[in-house]
Amino acid sequence: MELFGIGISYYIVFAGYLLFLAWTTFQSMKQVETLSDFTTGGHRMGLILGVGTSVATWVSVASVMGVPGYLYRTGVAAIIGWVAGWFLATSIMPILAARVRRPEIPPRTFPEFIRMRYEPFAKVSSLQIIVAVLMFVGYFIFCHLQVVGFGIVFNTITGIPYEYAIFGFLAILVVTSLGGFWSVAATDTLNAVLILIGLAFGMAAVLYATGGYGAIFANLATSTAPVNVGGPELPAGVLLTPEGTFGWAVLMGIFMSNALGASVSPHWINRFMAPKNAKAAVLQMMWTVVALIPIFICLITIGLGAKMLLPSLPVGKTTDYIMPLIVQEYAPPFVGAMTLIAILAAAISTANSMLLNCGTSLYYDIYRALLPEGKLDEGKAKNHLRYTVLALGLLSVLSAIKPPLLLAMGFTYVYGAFGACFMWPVWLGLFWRRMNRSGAYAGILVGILAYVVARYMGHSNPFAVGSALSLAATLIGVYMTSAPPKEAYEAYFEPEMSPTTRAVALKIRREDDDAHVVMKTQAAE
Amino acid sequence: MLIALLFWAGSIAFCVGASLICCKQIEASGVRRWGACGQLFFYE
Repeated sequence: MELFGIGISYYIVFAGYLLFLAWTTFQSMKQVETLSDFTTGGHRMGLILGVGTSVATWVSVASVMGVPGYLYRTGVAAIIGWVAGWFLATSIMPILAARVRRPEIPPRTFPEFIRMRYEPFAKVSSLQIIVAVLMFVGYFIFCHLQVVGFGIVFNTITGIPYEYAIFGFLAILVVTSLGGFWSVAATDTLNAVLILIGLAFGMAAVLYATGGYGAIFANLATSTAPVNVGGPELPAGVLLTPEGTFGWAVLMGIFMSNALGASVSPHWINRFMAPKNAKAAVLQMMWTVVALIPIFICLITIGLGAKMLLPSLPVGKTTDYIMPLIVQEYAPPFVGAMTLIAILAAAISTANSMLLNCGTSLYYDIYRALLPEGKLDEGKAKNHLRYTVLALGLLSVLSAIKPPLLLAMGFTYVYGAFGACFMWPVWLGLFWRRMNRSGAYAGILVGILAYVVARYMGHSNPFAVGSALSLAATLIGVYMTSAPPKEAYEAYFEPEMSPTTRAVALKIRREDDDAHVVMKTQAAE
Repeated sequence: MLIALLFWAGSIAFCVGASLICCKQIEASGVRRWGACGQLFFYE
């Protein structure tokens, strides 16, 4: 049965999903009482919600659509470049998480973390503002990519024009972001479950249509079909070689950008601030890796199986279209609807998190940091943040009308840039007391400049260039200047902080001790 | 294919190992505010 050319199953599944989203958002909005609740869940998040939100944030359209697309295009090499790269990033995260969540009075955002660690006494922290600007640009691109992914899926499966579909996405995105971190985390946990169910359905459909793994690998071993109809043929067997059509230098560049770059991405550092304590933060990332395994098995199967079902894409379609095309062609209506919901869930769960990061960096770390006088009005600040998120959501949709990048590669560029500039300030800041302000400035500025120049000049591994020069600049900066004050590093190295460190942290957060006592009581409950 | 899967499996093994070490360190510190509770995979 069809309505406006679309199966009724799609409407039922979609309506059910929207109702559940609205309910979880409404419930979680009640939880938001303070600015810390809005930005990091009040630093009191438990393990289940933490794992749910981490899984759903990891699984974006870049993974759900981009990874099958690259598997289709280059074969198993994409497992090294993206799947293993992202898993290695998540594998390093417990080590970082254990340190980031140590302070008794933690920062609310990543730029504030940089400020507390490197410029604790600055009235206006230039470093905080520089980091926030870099974050703003990066997360705006991430958000834009999620909108593009959603538009492609909706257009392919429903026939609704891409330009209209992305505006529908805006409404869902804004609703799930307005409640802040709790809303994002709650909807993310639901989305993580839906992603797994939807992809499992999609994988079953592909295995049924292809005849199983034996047939899929036999096809990969012999297929020479071009990516697009009329394009150059692939060498036989290249889809099963570890370096694929990339070559090792380029593939290692992608692997390193995704692994090392993603591990220090600001939204992950922000995630590590949300759990109740350091151990919860470690366990959150460990169980996230375990939960991601079945999801990526589904994605790998769908991507590799697609090469057998649809040897070449129609002219003008990028490999990002492979997932919706396969679902549309080979899955029964209900399975197709569930897979569509999985992709939608992946796009929403990542986009709302990115939108929150983007809005927070713009409002909290740039606008508010430039106005250092006066105590913070929590109520007004939360509303201002909501307006910022709303405006940025609209801008990201407008920017997606003419999409310029392949989804997975767009993520790799941003992760590479984040890694090149933030890797050493984050790692050395957490594990080396001597790391200081000059080192952080040098590392961040040299890292981002070197990455952009190397990328512009067509270097095969711009991340390696950026991070190597960033390390050299950081070390020169550190050894040419004096050691940092204890207020800068103490919270990350000692179980208890001194009264002066405590006073500095409260001053940066613009809280008095009463506000912090309330926060601690909530955490204990 | 095997090399690609080894990259992936290695990442997963590294994660579990690193998490185990981090949890052990937190337990060894005995700091309850960090989550030490006497059990390796639970937190206060």
